[in-house]
Order: sequence, then structure tokens, then C-alpha cells
Amino acid sequence: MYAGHIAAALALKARTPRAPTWALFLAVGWLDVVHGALVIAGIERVHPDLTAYLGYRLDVVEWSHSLVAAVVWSLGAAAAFSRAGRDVAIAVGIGVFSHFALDALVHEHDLPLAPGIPFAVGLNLWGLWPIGAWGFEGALVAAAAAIYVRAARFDRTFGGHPARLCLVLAVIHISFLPALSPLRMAARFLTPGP
Amino acid sequence: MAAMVYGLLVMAGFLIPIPILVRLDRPRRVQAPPSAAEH
Repeated sequence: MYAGHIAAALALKARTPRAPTWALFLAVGWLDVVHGALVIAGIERVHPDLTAYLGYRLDVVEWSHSLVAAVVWSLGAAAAFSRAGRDVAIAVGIGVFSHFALDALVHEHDLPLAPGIPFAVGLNLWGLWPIGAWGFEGALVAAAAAIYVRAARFDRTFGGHPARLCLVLAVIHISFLPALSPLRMAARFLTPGP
Repeated sequence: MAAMVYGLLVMAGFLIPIPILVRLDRPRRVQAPPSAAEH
């Protein structure tokens, strides 16, 4: 999931306009930013597999994408923003945790409960109905965008260009159609031939 | 190599759009009303 995470930041901004926009966008992607860094460092592991929705299988993701890790990262993010006020800290913390919650809807059973515990969760919408999962994410994006646009109409402290922002979000979502996904393209390019 | 490309794409996918999205979220500048001297 990609645009769906970003859309969560829009819904949070509508609910907590005082929260810094950059912090909300960073919060909803934080688990993936950590995951990417840990994969590069060799601490978490993935391998290309074109039968997987993403084009990659997640072998070890316990420090970024386990339930316990997500809770710890969320509490850490909320603590980092505690001086900005309780509402902002809560919004940022929810932003970080929303990543795990949304991933759990679509990922196959590859999100562990905690580091070192092999039991993993994931409703596997990607595996059961790939294009439906993409459509479901699109519906989430549309709903969050509607909440954001409506709130921005009444609160002039944010949302200066709602139409353009929604267009960018739509382009991001379309570029992650299973057939167009940059991750799948990278996996196809980097998978050794038979 | 494949894992490194994956890691970079996943990080960039969230970090690169942030400045663009933040700019689009900024409130519109409200034009100041003309001053009395201009009337």
C-alpha cells in the first residue's frame, strides 16, 4: 500500500490542522523509511519474487513492520512531538501506527507480531484479489481526500491547493497499479532469467 | 543488488513526495486590501 498511507496523513491533517504537515506525511511512511534503511543495512531481508503483489517477498521485517515494533515506533514518534501539544503528538503517533493497520489489511501473512516471534498477520487482500485491493485502496484515498477537502474549505490554515494535491495523490495511486508498480519493474529487471 | 534497489525505492517513495505535498497543503496567500493612500 502506498497512496493509502499518504491519504491517512490527509485525514489526520483534517482532524488536527495544527499538526505540521511534513510530520504527518513522514509519520505515515515512517515504517517503510525504516524498513528501506534496514534492508539496505542487511538487517531486514527481502527477495524479488514476481508471483508476489509487490514483486518482492518480505523475509525479515520484524524491526519495522511487526505489531510490537509499530507500537514502539508510534509511541516514540508521539513522544518526539509531545512538546507540540497532546493533539499533535497523538496525531503523529496514530499516523505511524496507521501504516501497520493499513498494511495488515492487504499484506499476506508476513507482518510478525514481534521480533523473534514467527507468528505473522495479514488479511492478504493483495493475494486474494489484487485488482480489488488496488480498488479498495483507491476508495480509501478518495474518502480521505474528501475529508481533507471538506475540512480545508472551513479552515484556511491549510489545504491551499486541494485539487492539485488530490491530482498528485491520484497519479501516485495509478502509478502503483500492479502492472505499473516501480517495485515490480525493479524486481523484473533484477530477477535473473531462467 | 535487488534488495538495495528495493530499499532505496521504498525510502524514496515516501521521502521524495513530502516537499511537493507540503507545498500543495500551504494556505493560499490572501492579497492585502489596497491601502487608504491608494484611494
